[in-house]
This record gives sequence, structure tokens and C-alpha cells, in this order.
Amino acid sequence: MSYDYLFKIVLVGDCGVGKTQIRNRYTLDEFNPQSKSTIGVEFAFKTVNIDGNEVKGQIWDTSGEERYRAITSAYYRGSVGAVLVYDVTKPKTFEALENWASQLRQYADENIVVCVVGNKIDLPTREVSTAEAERFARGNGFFYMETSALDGTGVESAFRQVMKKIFEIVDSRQQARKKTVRAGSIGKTRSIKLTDADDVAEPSKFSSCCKQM
Amino acid sequence: METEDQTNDDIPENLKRLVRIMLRAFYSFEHSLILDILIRNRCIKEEEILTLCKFDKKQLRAILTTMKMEKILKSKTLSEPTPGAEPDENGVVPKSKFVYYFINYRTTINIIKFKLHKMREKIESQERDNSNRASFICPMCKNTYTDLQVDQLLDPMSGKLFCSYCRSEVEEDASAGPKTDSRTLLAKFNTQIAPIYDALRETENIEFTPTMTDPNPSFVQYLHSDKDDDVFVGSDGRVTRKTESSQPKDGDGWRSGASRPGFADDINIIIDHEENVKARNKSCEGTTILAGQFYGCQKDEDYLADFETGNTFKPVRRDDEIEDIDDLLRNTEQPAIVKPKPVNPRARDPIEESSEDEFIDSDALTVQGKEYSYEEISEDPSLVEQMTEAEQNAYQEYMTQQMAYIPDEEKNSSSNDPLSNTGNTWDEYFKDNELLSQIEKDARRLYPDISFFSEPAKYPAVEFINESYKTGMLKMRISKRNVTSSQSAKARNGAIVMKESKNGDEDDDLECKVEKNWEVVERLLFVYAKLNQGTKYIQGMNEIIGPIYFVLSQDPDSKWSRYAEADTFYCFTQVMSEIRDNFIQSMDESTSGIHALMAQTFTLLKKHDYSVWQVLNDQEIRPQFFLFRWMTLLLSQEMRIPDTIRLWDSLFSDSKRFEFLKYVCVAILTLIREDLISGDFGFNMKLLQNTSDVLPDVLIIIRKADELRQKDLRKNSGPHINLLSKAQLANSHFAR
Repeated sequence: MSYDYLFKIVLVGDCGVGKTQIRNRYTLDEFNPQSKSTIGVEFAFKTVNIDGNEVKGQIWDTSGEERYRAITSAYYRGSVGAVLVYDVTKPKTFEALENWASQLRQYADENIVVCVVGNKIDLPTREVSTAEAERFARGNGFFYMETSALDGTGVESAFRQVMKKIFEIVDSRQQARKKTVRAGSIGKTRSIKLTDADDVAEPSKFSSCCKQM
Repeated sequence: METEDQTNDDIPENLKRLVRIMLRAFYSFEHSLILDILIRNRCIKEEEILTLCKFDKKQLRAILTTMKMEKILKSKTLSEPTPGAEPDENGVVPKSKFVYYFINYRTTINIIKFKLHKMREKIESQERDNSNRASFICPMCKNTYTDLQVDQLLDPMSGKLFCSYCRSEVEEDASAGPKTDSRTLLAKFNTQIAPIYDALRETENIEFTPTMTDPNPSFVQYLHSDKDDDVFVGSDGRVTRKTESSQPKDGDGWRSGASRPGFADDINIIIDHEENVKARNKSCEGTTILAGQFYGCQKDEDYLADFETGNTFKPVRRDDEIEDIDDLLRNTEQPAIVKPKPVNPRARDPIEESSEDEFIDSDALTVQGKEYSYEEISEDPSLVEQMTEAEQNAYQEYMTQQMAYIPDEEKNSSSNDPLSNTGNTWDEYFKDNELLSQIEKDARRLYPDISFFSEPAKYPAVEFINESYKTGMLKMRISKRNVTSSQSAKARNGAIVMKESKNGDEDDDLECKVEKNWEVVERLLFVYAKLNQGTKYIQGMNEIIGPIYFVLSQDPDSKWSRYAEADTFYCFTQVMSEIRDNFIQSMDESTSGIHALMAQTFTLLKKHDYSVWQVLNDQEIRPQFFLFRWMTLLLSQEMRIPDTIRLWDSLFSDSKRFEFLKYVCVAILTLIREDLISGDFGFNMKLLQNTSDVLPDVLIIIRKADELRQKDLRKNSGPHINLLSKAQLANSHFAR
């Protein structure tokens, strides 16, 4: 399966908010409450079609553990999208978002597309309101989604929205440049950088078919 | 009042002098200052050192850590009544943990000898290299040739010597030839180090007593009297022994009382320069003055003799129990507990050793206050029973202390209000509950692919704990915290809610009655976190403790398995004492931290399989992306549990445990090299993160790792196999 674009997206948030579950739901359509805790980073792919382009999402599911944060920051490099997850039943995980956001600002691309995701909305014991979360997201220039990894609500569309947004940024830039330099490079694989003028960074690296997907 | 001399009289003056000379010669002023304090005050708290030297806390920490890594310092943690704290109504004074530092003289002597030996070796090899220097040089291309290469240069027609590259005539290298420099270097070394040699010779007949190797805390007089108006540090540094009343209580005896009595043995290795030099010159050309003279390392001396003379290995039995050299050179900071080692470093085939005996080190052990040697214990299993019982009791005490602790709700005075979260007991209680719910989450999802951890525990705590401990007590603590969630959750569909909320389903009552194996693990981790405030609980520890508990609790002999929980606790503590740095963020950048480990492994990979290294490098697959988990969890998440257990046997039975881990990681990478080389970034990342399906048999991995290491050892050692690698080599033979 070939693809036209490759977007690196990081999943961050406190321990136990369900990052791994969201990833599994999105890439494998699975939910397994007994999954192991993530140490370091785990990795998954999913290719979707956006406006007729095959876009491959490279999802980096990071560990929420405080101790591993210094190591986790290494995973942010080169990511163009981020999904900031919290648990709607645990206000503490929502409060921690501020921290995660500053972490992103520090290590990731400055134009990174961020989606705040309130997970576990299937639970009746919700303690963080939608309005509150939306306010936070808007204040930081992020957009907000609610999901349930358990029944799958919102997961697909959260990722889709992130990718679409990235795609729009990239596409608009490309439209602007089309006439000048790399016209006619359609169908070529590229990994995307949002700030750099050079968004055809490493075409050869990802050009072969991905065996795994 | 006791004076300095009385306090320190167990450390001979000449030994102290040796350490002082060593410090002044090889360490910075700050290092020797702090060590001087520790020479004066045999064993004192970190806080006391801080007050005495008035260093910045960070600086002091750094120095203490380096000295600890150099194995000159040792530390032990004792819990003592919190200063200034009032006893509660039961008369129990709240305890805090204090880290005591002391100089490990026994190891220090060996370290000094070892380092001197290494220095000498280096100078000698330099000398040798110099005598092998090139003796011809090409004036054009500056290529050099030794005498032995002359045949390649000789042009038979002209009888002249021509450079094989540029064909110009070579000249004799005037700068070559024996360099006098290195000889003078050796002579210089001998004169300069003479005072240390002298001091070493003076210390040769010292007998080490248990108090010398594991001293009791010293009492620093001037820190405790007139604290306010006289903080001047007198040069005489008056100290006294700690008074009896402040000694650890009987209940703590398992920590302080069971010192390593093996040190009390007579050690009669005699340093005899002349003899030794001669003897060694016969078999190996270098003069290894100090090699083999380490205190109490008879067995390694045998290895040494074995290598040098080519004789077969014949262990020389001694009456006294003797420690390993690599034990000495490794950090021996294990707390003195009844079962000091998770695994015997000299384990034979680890698979065959399923009995508990493997956990007993060759040191003499203390069983209920009496000393027994390893032989005695292995001949009389009832002793082990007594021992495990003692250990069980100690653990039990901890458990009840940490678990059953719920602030008394009835005596809620205004200063102890659960709603005011400022530094009262409730504050700690709530923090603990948070910790607990985190541990619970991770313990619950331990090894989901096997049913063991969700099965009822064979020996639940309720059987050996007094009534004050109720099964499910931990769960109750968490459920109290989530009281709102549990109440409202009941209304919902139980099957779904069960997964997310711990106490929302009808099975809850039942769950409380039967203790599951994961709950035992949860309790273990909680007790560990409470007792080790420095490390606490970090995700991933569950993956380390899991296999240990899995093995111990399934011992077919109920004599052992009923003590599995306490045994696991001690074994886990031991393992953690060696890999704890992986779990401490501030250690990341240190030489023993995880970054260093990963970098070293990548360097090894580069050396042993350049193409794989290049692939990873080109695809920008950083060690953090996969090695981080591999190494932090000792590969336990990368393979299935039986394989993990087999691998750990090899890791633990190796004297340089985590050196071997690096080789195992490299071995895995080389075993999947074909896939890695043909794969792209995504494929390789997935492969590296999900190795369990593609890995060959664990024995193949271990064999490969061993093979790689042997190769390195051979290469490094050259004609003069150094001491350490010999010990390694011998050990890896055992590991096979």
C-alpha cells in the first residue's frame, strides 16, 4: 500500500487516561482493558484517504508516567500532530493538560496541530464538563473532541480531524508553491514538516511499501 | 564522653592513613574533605555531613554518589524516630528513613590495589608498545614499517628498501627505537606511589571485624549539643558511639543485626613483593605486583592461576567463607537482610537450581541471631525455614505497619482534620491512596496473557497476618476514595463498568474475599514504594516484580511457596538495588543511567554488526524508541514469561549482570538482522517493539550474547588477560 503523505502524530496525556486504548481502537479497532502499561513509546500506523490522497498516520503512543517524561520528549521531534488525552472522570488528568501542552510547545514543531480529547465518556461518573474542556482548548488554539475508546465513539473522527487539518496546512502551502519549484511531484511520498519551507524532506526514506500495514 | 579514638578504634590508624594518602593523591579537595569527615565519624547521616562540611546539598550528593560508584563509600538506610516528632497515643514514635554513609575500608583496599595494578599494567603495556615501534619511515608518505616488514620492502635488485605504497626509499626512523621515556615513567611511578605501597604493606594483616565493614551509626557530639551557638567544626571532631537507646529496636534487627559476618574471618593473604613478582614473571611477562592479592578472593586467584599456568581449575577450600572479587568490585551496598542475594553469582546451571538455596550467598548468614555458614544451612533445611520465618516476620511487620495505617477517624482533632490537607497524617493517607490506585491499575494488568495473576493466591495474606489485616484492605482504601463513582456506577451495566471502575459490579464483595495474585503484587509494590521513598513506584516495576513472584509462588514445595510474598519482596529489593538507576530520572544522565546504557549498547552493536547499526542509524531509529523499554524492564515485555525467566537466570547468575544485558540486546538485534536490513522505518519500529513473535528460542539468544561477549573479552585481553575479564570469562562459562 503506497501513500502520498506521512504524518507523525503523538498521543500524550497522564497515566491511565486511555492513550493506548485510543490507539488500539483507531488502528486495530480493538479494546482490551488488560493492556500492559506503556513504557517509553509504542508505535502504530493507519492509512486514511483525505481528499483523494492516501495519508499515512504514524501514531506514537507515549508513556504517561512522570518519570519517563524526559525520555518521551525525544518522541515529539518531527511530529506534526498531537492528541492530548485526558480522562473525563478524573479532573486531575485534565489539569495536567496545561503541563502537557507546554511540553509540546517546548519540544514539538510550533505549528503542530493539537486536538484535546476527553476520553471515557461512556462512564457515568463524568467530572470534567465539555464546556470547561472546550474553553481550555480554544484558549490554546487547539480543537476539542470527546471519545470513548471502549465503544469507539469519536476516536476515528478525532484522528481524522487532526490529519485533515495537517493536510490542509500542507496542501495550502503546496498550492502556493506549485507553480514555482516542485510542480508535478504528485504521487511522490513525502514526510511533512510544517514550518520548514522544505516539506519534501526525506522522500526516499518512506518510499517503499510498508510491509506491516 | 567518648572520644574520637574510642569510636574509631576498630579502624587501625594505618588504614586510615592509607585512605587519606589515596584521597589526597587522586581526588579533589572536596572529595578528600568529605571523606575526612567520614574517617573521623565512622558512619553518619547525610544531613550530618552536610552540616559539617557546609557544602551545597547538590554538590555533596554528587560527591557522595561518585564515591559510592567508586565503591569507596557505602551507604545504608535506617529508619529512626523522626526528630522532634511526638509519640502518638500508642507510644509509637513516627519513623523516618535516614541514609548513613561510611567508608568501606575492606573494598577500598582492594580498589586501591586494583587501580594501582591497572596503572602499572598500562605503563607496562605502553613500554611494550614502544619497543615494537616502527623502525623505518617513508620520507614521502610517512608510512612506517617495523623490522619484520622489511621483507616486503626489500628490492632484491637494488638491495634497497622501498616504500610499498609510493616506492620511494625508506629511511630508518630516528625517533624509533626503545624509548627511555617509558622506563623512567615506570620508575617515576614506583617512587611516586611508594608511600601508598608502604601504607598498603602496613595494612596487610588487618583483620576485618563486622563493625569495620558495617559500622553502627556514630553520634556526632557537637551537632547535638549547643547546636545554636556553636556550629564550629573542631579539628578534633569529637564523636561518640550512639547511645544504646537510639540503636534500632529489636524489630529492626533483621536489618542491622544480620551484617555480613563473613568479614570476620581471618584473612592471611600476605603481600610479598619480591616473591610475587618472581612467581608471576615466570608465567606472564608483566609484573603484576598486586594482582591476586585482593582480600578474600581466593576463588578468583584460582581462576588467575588457572589462566596463567594452564592448570585445570581446582578450587581451594578454605575454612572461612570467601567473597568474590567481582562482588567486591561491584557495589556491595545491599542492605544486610537475612537472605542477601536474589541469586548466587556463581550459580551453576541456573535451570537446575530450582531450590531456594540459590538465593543464599556464600556468606555466612544469621538465623535468629546465630551465625551459620552456607554449608551448615544447606545441610539442614530446617534452618532455612527458621530463616524464612524470621524474614517473614520482618516483612509482616512492615506490611501491617504500612497497610493497616488508617488515621484514626475518631480522634479527629482540629489539627488532624481530613479536610485540611496541610501536613497532617491525612495528607499522607490521601497521597498513599493515589499511589495505591496507580499501583493497582498496573498490578491488575500484569501479564494479561496468562491467567496466573488473576487467580486466587495460594497463600493469601489473611493466613499469616493477624486479624488487623483484612483481605481487600487495599481495595477498600481505593474504593473509599472513589465512593461517588462506585455508587453511581452500580446503576449501570455491570459488565462494562467493571472494566473501568474497580468497585462498580456485584462481584465486588466476592472479589474482596478471595485474594488474587495480582493483589499480592500490588501490596508488595506498595510496601516497596513506602519503604523506598527515593524511588517510590514507577510504572514498569510491576514488570520486574511479576516474574519474581510468579516463580517463587509456584514452588512445588509448599515450605517455600508459602513464604513467596516475603521472599519476593527481598528478591525484588535486591534486583532493584542494581537497576534502580533506570527508574530514577535524575540518574538518566549519569554513567550508570539509562542513556549511558543505551548508548553503550548501540556502540556494541556498531562493533558487532555494523550493517544493522547503520540501518538503525540511517532510519533514525533512536535507542529510546525501543531499547529504553528493553533495558528498563530487563526484556520482560519483549518475550513470554517462561523465556523471561530463563533469560533472567542468565542475567542474574552473571557476575556483571547488566553488562550481559547489553550483549543480549545486541544478540537479539543481530538475530533479526535480515528483517531489519530489508525493512523500512515503520516495519523496523514495529518489529523492534513486538519482538516476541519473531525472536528465536531464548537459549539461542543467550548463546549468541555469550558468544559476542567472549569475542570481546578475547579481543580486549590480548596476551595479558586482565583480572576482570578473567572473572567474567570464568563466570560466563558457568552461565552456559
